[in-house]
Amino acid sequence: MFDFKTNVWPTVEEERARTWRRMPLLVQIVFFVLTIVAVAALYGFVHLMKLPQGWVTAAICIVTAEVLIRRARFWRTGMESALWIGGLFAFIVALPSSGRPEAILVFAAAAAIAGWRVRNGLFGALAMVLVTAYFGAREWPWMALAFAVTVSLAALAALAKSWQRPSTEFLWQVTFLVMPVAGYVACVAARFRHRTPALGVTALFSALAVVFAVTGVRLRIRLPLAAAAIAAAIAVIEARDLIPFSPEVELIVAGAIVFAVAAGIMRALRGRTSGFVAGTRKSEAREVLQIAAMIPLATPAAPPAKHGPGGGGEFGGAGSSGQF
Amino acid sequence: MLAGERRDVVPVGDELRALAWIGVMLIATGVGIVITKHFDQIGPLAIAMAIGLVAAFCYAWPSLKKKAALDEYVVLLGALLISADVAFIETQWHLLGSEWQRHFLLLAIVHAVAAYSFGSRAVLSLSIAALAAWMGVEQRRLFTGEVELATRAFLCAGILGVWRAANRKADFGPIFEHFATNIAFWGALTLTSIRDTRPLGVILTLIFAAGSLLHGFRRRRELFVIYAAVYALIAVDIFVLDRIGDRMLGLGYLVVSSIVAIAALFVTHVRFQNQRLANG
Repeated sequence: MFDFKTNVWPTVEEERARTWRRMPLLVQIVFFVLTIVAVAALYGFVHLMKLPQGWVTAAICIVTAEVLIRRARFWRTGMESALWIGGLFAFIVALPSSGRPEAILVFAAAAAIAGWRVRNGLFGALAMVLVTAYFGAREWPWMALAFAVTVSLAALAALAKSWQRPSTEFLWQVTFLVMPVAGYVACVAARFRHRTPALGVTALFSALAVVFAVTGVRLRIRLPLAAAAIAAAIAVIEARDLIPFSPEVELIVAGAIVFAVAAGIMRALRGRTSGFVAGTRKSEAREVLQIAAMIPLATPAAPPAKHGPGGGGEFGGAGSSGQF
Repeated sequence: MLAGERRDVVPVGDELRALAWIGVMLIATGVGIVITKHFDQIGPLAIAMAIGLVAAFCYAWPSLKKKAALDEYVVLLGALLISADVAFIETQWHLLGSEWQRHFLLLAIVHAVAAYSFGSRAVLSLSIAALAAWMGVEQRRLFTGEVELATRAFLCAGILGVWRAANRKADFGPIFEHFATNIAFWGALTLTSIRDTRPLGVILTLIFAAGSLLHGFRRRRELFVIYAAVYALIAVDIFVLDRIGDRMLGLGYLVVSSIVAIAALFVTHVRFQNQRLANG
């Protein structure tokens, strides 16, 4: 028999000590993807058997996930998370479709439930992003932006505190980081149809960049600094029509500024041993990120297509392919 | 308790490196667009010379001053500009004539020299990509069903293997290994995607998977274990689904094969962890 009370979630101590079965980040991603493939295939299989595919898939997935969590103490293996969210999404997809934007809210609720059950910050953030997408789909760009910014600021306030559970802290971190981007994308998508002025968005994200940067420096947290950079980038993108340069010059100047800022900060931090330091930290995702950073560099290039006089055409070479 | 009170040391080196990388990519993209849009206004010779000068300056920069943490990214920018410049020159003046593909080989050599001179892994990636482009291995061509493409992929992976064996810079080793492994698997999957060569493709994928698995265990590099599992699963799935034909049976097979793959990878991971613990 399972002990329902003690095996629903790891205790705070167990979660901090990582005593339940967990996998490194990359393995989690692989297991998540493989499990989603299995869930999708199961959905199709049950459908072809002429059974109620939503109910059956959801039931099989959730029961399996619960057995894995409570019996085998699976926690952050990628499987239990994929089973929970895959099962709930399969259930929703099988429902009769009305084509209304409110369907997005149903997916948001499913993401929130799955996120709550497996304490997965990514699912929690996905729920918030889907609510923002709903406002965007209803063509309420300012509502989408206001919601996203409010949630992001609330997450920032939460980050200023110390949390007992790493999963709770991760939820705030992800929510804080993705919501401004989600709000902006929803706002842009809705504005695409209504062409509302961009000045307000520029001002808002400029202000956010300042707030995030100041908070990050004062509280000595890295994440608000990254969020400040993202907010500043959005402000610049929105202000591109106000900048009297061509896009290519803007890119070169922006790149030079970004590089100069990085070099300047690195120089200022040289030799420091406390507070912000220029050192790096060990992370299980480090090797993956390093390889990911090389993928754009390693994009095979297209050969020159034309060789006639004054021809032009495609050119390229290891990270510099293009057309003209 | 406020977060700031519990963080005495906050390392931001990774974030600053990421920022520098973004800066370099923005500049390189901007330069690419300048070449594309303005080459007839500015003049091809002026563009070629200007980019060449800036690239030379980027390469000279680290030796003009004290060593700095972000020098690697200045060198990377120089390498990207050289790539753009060489390709531009070749497209404009056709110096290599019908052998225009050799500009990739030239880039591979130039970048390799720069990578070893400056000890830059990123520039080495450019060199390998240029080599792969010269040999005609393009990722987006996967599953187009060209036997010749697969052969060239194997050849490219072999060259990278030899290069890896001759390499004396320890931190370059993993770059060769990742590229060679993936290119070899792409070649095998290309064969798997062609109906006539499918059995051979599956066998080769399984052989490479065994090699990758062994390498992963010997070097304690879990990513190679994952490569082995994922590529082998894709190849076997393609093979079996082709044989099954029936949709329902096929979907049932996919469920089972995914579960088996997860279980196998899970057991392998546990063994991997145990080995890691045993070896300290």
